[in-house]
Amino acid sequence: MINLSPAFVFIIGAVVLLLLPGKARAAAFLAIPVLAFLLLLRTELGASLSVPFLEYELVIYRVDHLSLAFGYIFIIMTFLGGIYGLHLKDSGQQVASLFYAGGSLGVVFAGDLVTLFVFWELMAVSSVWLILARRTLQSARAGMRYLFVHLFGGSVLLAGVLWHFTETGSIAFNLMGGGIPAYLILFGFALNAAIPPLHAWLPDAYPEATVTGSVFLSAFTTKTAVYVLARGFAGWDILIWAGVVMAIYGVIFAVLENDIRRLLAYHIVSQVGYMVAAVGLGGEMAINGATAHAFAHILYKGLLFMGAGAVLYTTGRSKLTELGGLARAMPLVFGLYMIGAFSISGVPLFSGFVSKSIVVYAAELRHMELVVQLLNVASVGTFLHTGLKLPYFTWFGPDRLLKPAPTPPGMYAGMALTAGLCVAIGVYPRLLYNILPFPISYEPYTIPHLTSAIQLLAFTGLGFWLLIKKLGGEATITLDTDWFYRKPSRLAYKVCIVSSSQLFAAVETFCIRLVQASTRLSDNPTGYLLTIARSMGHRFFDGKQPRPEPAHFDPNRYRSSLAVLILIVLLCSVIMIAWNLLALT
Amino acid sequence: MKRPWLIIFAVVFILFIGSDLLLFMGKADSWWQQVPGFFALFGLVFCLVIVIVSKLLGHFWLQRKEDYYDRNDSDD
Repeated sequence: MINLSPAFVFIIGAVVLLLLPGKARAAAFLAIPVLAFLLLLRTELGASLSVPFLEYELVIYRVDHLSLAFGYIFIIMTFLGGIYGLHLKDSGQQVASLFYAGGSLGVVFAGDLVTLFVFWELMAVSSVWLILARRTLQSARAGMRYLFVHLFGGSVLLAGVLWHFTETGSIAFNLMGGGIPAYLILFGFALNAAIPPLHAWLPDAYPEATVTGSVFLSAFTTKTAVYVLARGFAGWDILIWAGVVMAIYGVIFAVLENDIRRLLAYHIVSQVGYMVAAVGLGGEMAINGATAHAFAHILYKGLLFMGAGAVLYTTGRSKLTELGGLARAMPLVFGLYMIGAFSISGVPLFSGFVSKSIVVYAAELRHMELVVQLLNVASVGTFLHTGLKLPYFTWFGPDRLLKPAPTPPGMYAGMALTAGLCVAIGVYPRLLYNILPFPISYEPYTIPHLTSAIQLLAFTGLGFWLLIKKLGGEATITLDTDWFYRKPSRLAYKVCIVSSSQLFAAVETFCIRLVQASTRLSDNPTGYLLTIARSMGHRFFDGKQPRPEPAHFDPNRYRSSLAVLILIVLLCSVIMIAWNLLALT
Repeated sequence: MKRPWLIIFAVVFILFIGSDLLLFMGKADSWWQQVPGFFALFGLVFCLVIVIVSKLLGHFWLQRKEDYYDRNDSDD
């Protein structure tokens, strides 16, 4: 039996990929997830691999039901994203995607906090490349903000890990007890899970990433965070409410968004809210729900970003106010996008209907009626925006007479395969149930559940239709908690960079003036002092006037002339002659 | 154009009420199942609430011009 973590298949694969010629790269990219998947299929439950490091044991590979479920979906999504990105010629993006996926798998299979932290940082550093690779000014700035926020989160996580280690003497990663170190670790995880107010990096950076990059980004970072929360913080009540707030928050902000990929990004926050709430609920049904929803979400959100990415790729536009009437030009992309939209909205026969219902059912089991109904509210908002508003104003609505470029066949293939999986899970939930961490006996297709879902969706549709005139995109941006570091950053820039350079310039000018004054003083002390005295006199009597330049020192100015000398010599000789003449007499 | 749609939705709503009455008469698990057509009303009402609340938040507070964060770039 081979006991190699699939994370290393990805990391070694990424290095090998760099050495391959351009044409073989896209195909080789697909071979890596296939290889990793085969490896994972051959791995037995309970397998583990430890490496001694200093005096500790690092558990770099821990296989159980929970880590397997996340491992499968990460590998599947890398494969699907690879097909979608077959047209890519940019080796940087391909290699970064593999490192990013490898980092995520490393986190999922990590059995201790140190290994987890190392892969956690690998994710942050490799994923930022997918944002920077778009090579625009906005993406460069958003990428740097993304990187700094994640490095900050990573540092808090590291502080928590070290503190946890000094208190307990163990680096094993299991359910956390409590205390400050656990909260520090929770902070690091919550930042990656995009729990408000730590979420702003997500809608800030994802829409600025490359077309393929955002497909990968939407899959990994938040879902590894859901995994680590499920592993370390299952049953923490605070997460129930954090999740509910996320679910509603994302929906409220999505209303105001004009950029289609930013709208989808806010719905990631909303959907991850379901998973975080489920983790908070704890218990077998809820953890199953979180896992199932993460699994389904990675597929349908990937599909939605693929659809929005195809629009951006072919038209160069991503704003609702600039899009419209594309249905005739790209009907297939529209159809495939709608499969993703129906899945996220929880339309029966699509994957979200199954996975979201498990989460809501877990809350019903705990008799938390408020949680149940607030999650239903988020459901309404999800269908309203992802299922109705975005597609209506992109593919229908006012016709902007756009002439999109042809969509690469790989994009169609990637979307079609992803859409197929979304439908397969919706139609045959056993596919999903078989890989969940705990045995599950939940039947989503009951008549009461179907009628309530259909009622909810149909009348959300009515609401959309009534408000359709108000729902078009507005050419604005929306303030979010990133304001707190984006606006003061300008102030900090002024205080630390601008003002210090101004101070430097002031000191420089002062010194130059001092040197000038002292040269003039030593050049012509009396002249200089006289000029100053004169100009002060002028100022006193005539008001302010420009100080006259002191004349350069003229050595002849205060020197007696030759004529005086001759005169003195003559005078002296006259006196001498006169004196001698007197003596003679 | 609007009227036929409104009639269709009204008919659908009545159908939902009928099906709820048939399904849950006397065997409701929770209070919302005792209200026929609960989820239809829920969907409509919260669709309106979400849009109105967020538009209010946006127009009075959160929405800014697209160059909001770049406006002072000239003095960088």
